[in-house]
Amino acid sequence: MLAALVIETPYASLEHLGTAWNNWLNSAGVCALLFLLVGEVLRRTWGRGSLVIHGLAGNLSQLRPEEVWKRRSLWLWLALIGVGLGVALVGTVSGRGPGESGGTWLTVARLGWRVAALAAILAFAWEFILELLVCRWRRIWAIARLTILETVRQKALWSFAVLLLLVLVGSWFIQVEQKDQWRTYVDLLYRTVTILMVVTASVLACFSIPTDIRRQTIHTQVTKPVRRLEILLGRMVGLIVLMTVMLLIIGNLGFLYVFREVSPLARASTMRSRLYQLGELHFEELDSEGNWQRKQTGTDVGDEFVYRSHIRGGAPQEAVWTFYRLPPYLFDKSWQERNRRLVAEFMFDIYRMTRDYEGGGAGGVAMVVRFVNPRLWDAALEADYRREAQELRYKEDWDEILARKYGFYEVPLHIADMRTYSVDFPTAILERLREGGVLQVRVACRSFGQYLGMGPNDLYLVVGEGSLYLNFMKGLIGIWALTVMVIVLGTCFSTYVNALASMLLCWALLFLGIPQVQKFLGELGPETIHRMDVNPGGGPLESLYRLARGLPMATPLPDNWGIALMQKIDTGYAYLFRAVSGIVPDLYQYDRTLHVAEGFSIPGGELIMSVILLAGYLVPYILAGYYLLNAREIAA
Amino acid sequence: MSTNNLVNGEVIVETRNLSKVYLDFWGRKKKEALRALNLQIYRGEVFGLLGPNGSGKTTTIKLLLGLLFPTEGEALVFGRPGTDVAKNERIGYLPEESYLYRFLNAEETLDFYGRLFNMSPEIRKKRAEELIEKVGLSRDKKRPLREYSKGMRQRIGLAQALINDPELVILDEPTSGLDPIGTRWMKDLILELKAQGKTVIMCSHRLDDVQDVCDRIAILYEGELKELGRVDELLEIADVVEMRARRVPLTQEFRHDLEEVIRRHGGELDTVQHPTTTLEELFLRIVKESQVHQGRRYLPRTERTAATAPSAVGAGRTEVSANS
Repeated sequence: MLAALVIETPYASLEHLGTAWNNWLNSAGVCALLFLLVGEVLRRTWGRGSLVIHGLAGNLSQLRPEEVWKRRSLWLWLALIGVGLGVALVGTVSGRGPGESGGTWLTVARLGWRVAALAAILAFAWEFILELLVCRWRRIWAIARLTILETVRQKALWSFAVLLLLVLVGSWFIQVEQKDQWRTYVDLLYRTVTILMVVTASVLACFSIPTDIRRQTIHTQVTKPVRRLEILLGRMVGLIVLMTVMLLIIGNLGFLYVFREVSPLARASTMRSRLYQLGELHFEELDSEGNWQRKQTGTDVGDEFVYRSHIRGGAPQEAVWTFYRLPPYLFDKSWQERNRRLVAEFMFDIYRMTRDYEGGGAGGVAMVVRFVNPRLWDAALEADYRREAQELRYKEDWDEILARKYGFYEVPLHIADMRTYSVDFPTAILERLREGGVLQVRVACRSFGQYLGMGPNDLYLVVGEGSLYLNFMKGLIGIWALTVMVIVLGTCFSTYVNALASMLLCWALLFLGIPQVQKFLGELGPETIHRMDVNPGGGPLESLYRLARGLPMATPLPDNWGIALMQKIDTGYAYLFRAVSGIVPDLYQYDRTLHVAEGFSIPGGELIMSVILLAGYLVPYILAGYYLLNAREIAA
Repeated sequence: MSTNNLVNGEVIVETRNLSKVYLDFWGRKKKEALRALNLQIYRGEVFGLLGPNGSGKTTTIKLLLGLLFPTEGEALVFGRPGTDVAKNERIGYLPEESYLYRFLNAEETLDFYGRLFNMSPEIRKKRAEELIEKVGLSRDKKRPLREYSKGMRQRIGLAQALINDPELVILDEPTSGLDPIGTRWMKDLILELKAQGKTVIMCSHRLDDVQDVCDRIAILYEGELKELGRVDELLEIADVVEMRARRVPLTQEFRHDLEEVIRRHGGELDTVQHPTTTLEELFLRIVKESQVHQGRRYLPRTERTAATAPSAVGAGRTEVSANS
């Protein structure tokens, strides 16, 4: 009844922590360097740079004699920036030369850049860090408490009553089949809650500080020993606590509502929380010399949907999923005795070359799924395996005996297009994996003239069943993360611009963060900016040139130094754009509706990583918000 | 406190060439609110900033409190710049309109501001109770501030300014919008703060209030300091002598004798008359008496008994002024 998990772009997990850190360092480092540079230029030319960069000319210039070390330590970071950038430059220039040392030089250059980026971030954040050390939780909580009281007593949360109404009467208008009830209700509830939380949070966050300033109530706060960072954090904490409580209440009520609405018959089959294990997909093909060749893609059938790659029916071509990491409990003897079978689920695309077969049932496309321990199994053993299978066929556990012995088990079946199937296999095959090796699932198509298309997540192992309630709550963490993001963004923007402008900025960023726009922004990176198939017309300078000369997008440009320089500048722009585009959130990471609605348990690692990504994304905004509020004349 | 004592005392607030220019979005000069202000305010004095609307009084206070940043010069409080947060530990500030959170009640308000001073719950509770008692809001402490009258808001505003038992109290138009009873209460409280050794800076355009409580004043006009000094010295009319005598009948003979004495000393008699009380004194006396005698009401002058008159301030007193 439930669909397979179709995830085109994998969610970030803890394995991606290193890459995420490097990306963050690049983006934040470039932004910090830009701010330092612009701030210093403004300070020298206009005398107002201190507003942008407090670290060099703001509060740190009003220190008591015993605190002068704070300003002096700032120069340490500036010196490190110089050294880092110098090393990066030398490394890049030296790495271009011929010879083996090029790679080493480039590593040195990368290291130099990372030192410079980290030092730039520290220099920019230095005042913030020092200020954070002297902040007092009692003051932050006082302002947070005030925010909560203000919101509750001014009846700002009445909007949630709309949701209650919607949920209560919603089911009158929704006619769904039993098999789709869970999916539909979860989807509806998650999307409604998301919109409601995000809209409410953005209004509350964007109006919070501006209202305080407009009514001048902030005057009695800032004339107390309250740091502006405490005001900023207090407002954020208050709204986050309030919205978290609201989300918990709505989430629990919503769960009860959905549970009540789904018919008892459909509950067992649809209300699930499958623990799944994804493998790594590659393709293998037999070459003319009889050797299996490994490939990253299968056969290209010209389908526009590039997520799936195809294998040809009746040909020596297989799709192979390798499961490098399986949960340790699967290797436990007692667990295996309790659970004699494990399930693999899959859903494939059928690219048909003839009109037959596609209807499913007995006439579907023939295929075979093989579970293999490559350390035990070899194609040469197939004859022995089949002979022994014939001998043991009357024994109840013949497949377990053979799976244990040969590390091999196969399931032939017929399938229809884009329909979920599950096959089980004996857990005995996992027994010998404790000695080493990996589990492989190999899929081959047996129908001549048909193609089977598959993507990395089209096949997975179901390795257990998690708590449905817990999974529902884990799904809400995505909505919580979005709400926190909106609260922080709105509060930070509203430290300098008025409430409406803050809300517009907030919504603009959220729009840029939706997956479709993110994909477009990704295409403007340095790797693809000059690729005709991805970004026809080139970068901004090239586009301008083409416009001025009236050249169509596909016309090749003349080969001269001017064009080369222009394209180099475009590449530089693309690098800068890539770094600066880090200010746009990646909303994809927080939408977990699919998991919950389709009955898949959300992996804990991915959840933790999404919160880490959120923190990494928000830190620069909190920094900016603090500096802007600090630079603001509250009474002006 | 004499002028000498003040001059030798500890400087609490100092402005050095303090200037403030308001700019528009494009950085162009919009208004010059304050021009090179030089002031020194000493520990223990009540200092008044006087001036018409737009003269720079509130701007000066906001600069001292770090609500605005100086365009030029320095605003130092306890030797630290106005933008330094640490100095606020020793300051209490009552803004002009008592901008408080109207959804909180008096107790919650004081608890909130106590938390901002990082006070422990016990100290907060004790201090809040004391202050609510002091400002006379015990019966209304559970009502949200939005239900308070202007006078009550000013009282709770003052209570929040005193929550940290500050050394320096800054009051922006403390008597604005208050009735005579509230005004008197506020002035008494300022004098009480002075008696406790606190420094008070107040700005007002109600000259009588300033005259009543301030030791020294600065008069600002269009952002410039026009006058600075002790109130009694600034208001003294050096060529006029004023004396008061009790129980002297204001007869023609008395007037002649007085004229004779004054003439002998080279002066001339200006006026001889019974002094008048202030309207404030009269009002407060009537309110006080009405509280004691609940049924008392206005009677035409002809019907009044002699018993109501003697308690009037200044009754039976003769005031003489002479020019020398």
